Amino acid sequence: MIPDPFAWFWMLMILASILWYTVLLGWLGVRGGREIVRMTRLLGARPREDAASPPPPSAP
Amino acid sequence: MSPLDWTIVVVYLAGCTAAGLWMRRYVRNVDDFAIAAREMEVNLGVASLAATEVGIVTVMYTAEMGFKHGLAGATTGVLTALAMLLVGLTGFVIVPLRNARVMTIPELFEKRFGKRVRWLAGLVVILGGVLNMGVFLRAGGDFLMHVTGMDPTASFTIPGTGWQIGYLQLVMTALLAIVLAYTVLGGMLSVLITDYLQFLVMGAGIVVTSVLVLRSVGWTELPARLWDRHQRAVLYGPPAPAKVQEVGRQYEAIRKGHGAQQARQQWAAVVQPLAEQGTLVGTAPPRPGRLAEEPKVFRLSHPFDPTRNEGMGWGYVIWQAITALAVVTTWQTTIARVLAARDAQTAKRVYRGTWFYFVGRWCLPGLWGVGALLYFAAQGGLEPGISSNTAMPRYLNTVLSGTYGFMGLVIAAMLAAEMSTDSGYLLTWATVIYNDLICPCLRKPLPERARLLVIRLVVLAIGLFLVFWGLWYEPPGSIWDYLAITGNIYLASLFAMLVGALYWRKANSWGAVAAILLGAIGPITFLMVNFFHPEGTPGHIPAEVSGLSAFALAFFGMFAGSVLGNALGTGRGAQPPRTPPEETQP
Repeated sequence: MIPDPFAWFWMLMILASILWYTVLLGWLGVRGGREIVRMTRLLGARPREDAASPPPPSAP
Repeated sequence: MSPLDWTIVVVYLAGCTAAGLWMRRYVRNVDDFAIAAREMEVNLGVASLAATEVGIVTVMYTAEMGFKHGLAGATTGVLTALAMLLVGLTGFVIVPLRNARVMTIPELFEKRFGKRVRWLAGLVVILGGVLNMGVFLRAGGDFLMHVTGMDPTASFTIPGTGWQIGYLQLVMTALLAIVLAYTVLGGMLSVLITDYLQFLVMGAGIVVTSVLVLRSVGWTELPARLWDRHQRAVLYGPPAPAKVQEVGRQYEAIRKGHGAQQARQQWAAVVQPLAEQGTLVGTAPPRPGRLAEEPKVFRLSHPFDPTRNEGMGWGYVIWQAITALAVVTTWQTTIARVLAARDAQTAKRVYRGTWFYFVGRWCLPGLWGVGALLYFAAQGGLEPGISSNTAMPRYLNTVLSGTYGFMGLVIAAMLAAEMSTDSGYLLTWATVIYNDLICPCLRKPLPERARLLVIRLVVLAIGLFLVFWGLWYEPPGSIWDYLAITGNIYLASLFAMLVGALYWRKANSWGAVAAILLGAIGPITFLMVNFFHPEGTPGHIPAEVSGLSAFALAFFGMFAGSVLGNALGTGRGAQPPRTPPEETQP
């Protein structure tokens, strides 16, 4: 017999947290991984600072 | 630990270090280093924020709250989650802050209040933030030593030198060295990738441990067993001081080895009846250079309702609610993810995606603390040398022993928690030092390479400071109270300043300076007074009184200072930054 209404609340929070962490692990595991790939591609595709500067005048 | 446990820990450490070091190739300037070139998306942001905000110290203090206050100890987690949801839905503070395109909060203050206020605010941020981080390594080391069953005071002597080094210090220094290596080289880009990996390992460890604890305690019996502990404490009342002193005397005899076996029997003869009467007595080994602490008495007050719990009450709940709102809008490590987000909408979505995580951040380690309380009560009291902060890892040692592979997973999870928090915090405070303390003092901007070098050196300097401060300083009171008070040194001031800067047109530099000075008075008074008046003695200031007065004084300072500055016509104050219309739509 649970002696206090707050006890129900806390038990619900504990079980919901375990469930939420499990769902979040799967969700972020897949989505976060894709975002890392996308971010590293974006960062890798940036022109280098030395490449972005105007080329030196060509020799005659 | 079994070979499988060791394999899990080594694979985790190697993988995480390699991933962190790999990201350094993308770092070209300070923006890449400090805010990941503002390329962070929602899910990576949620994982990073979640990983950073759960360290071993978090697990330790939330479990300590569970041990001392029962399930009501997780109240702060629910309040923080609600604050996070509120800010994620409304964009309160974070939308105008992200749209201001600043790198740190003090940088925003320069736009409104001038360079001097920016510098002063940066100093307050560093003072509160780095002091706050000071307990991380010690708490983390304590956890790892107790959960593996090692003696936290064990040490070895380096041959030929006579230097004595504790295993706790050595393990934590090595861990920090790994974190420093990838944070110094890869900055926020490395932190994001390692946070992601650490989130996965840590999340799995937290779920597995919570299920094992629920199985060990018996989840259907948990509320009734807690209620029984509370009823016994009420029925029998506090123990006679002579009995508590006797526990302390026997512990000293056990620790020093004088008739240890007889002392253990006498210890049990006093402690067991007390445990049956609802009282646990905690003892702790002395830290180097300190006297042994007096035994501490733990009697469970109302374990479910925070307003009826003797150690909490309405004042505590209100203080924690205000602190929660201030933390989610002002704490620089949290705000760093807002500033690294692609846009304001992404920042709001990160908050909405993370909010419920904060319930678990408190409830699950709190559950472990409750499990420890019930376990030691059933065993006839706490073991010698165990107190409220070390009961949980000692208990986990018994729960995880013999579970092939789970011990390794939980240790890897806690290492992940510690590393993600350390890296995020190191980077954040280094960014503030560089951006708000060093940059305003320079007559002309440094070249890009020199800027990167300086910020990397600052990360390294904070790391070295933490090794000495973090491993030798022993905080007064409970860990959470210490964290809350040192954090309040800046939370109260910065929260009042930020709200004033973003939402009050009449706010000016007079109000900002007054908010900083008055907001710091409460926490500093607490630290000084309580140094001379420990808990349980007359004159001791409760943490909630200090915390609430800090917020009240800071907001009063912002209001009164600004009014005075405007009346004298000398206060400096620009208009609040306008929010671009395309970034305010839901």
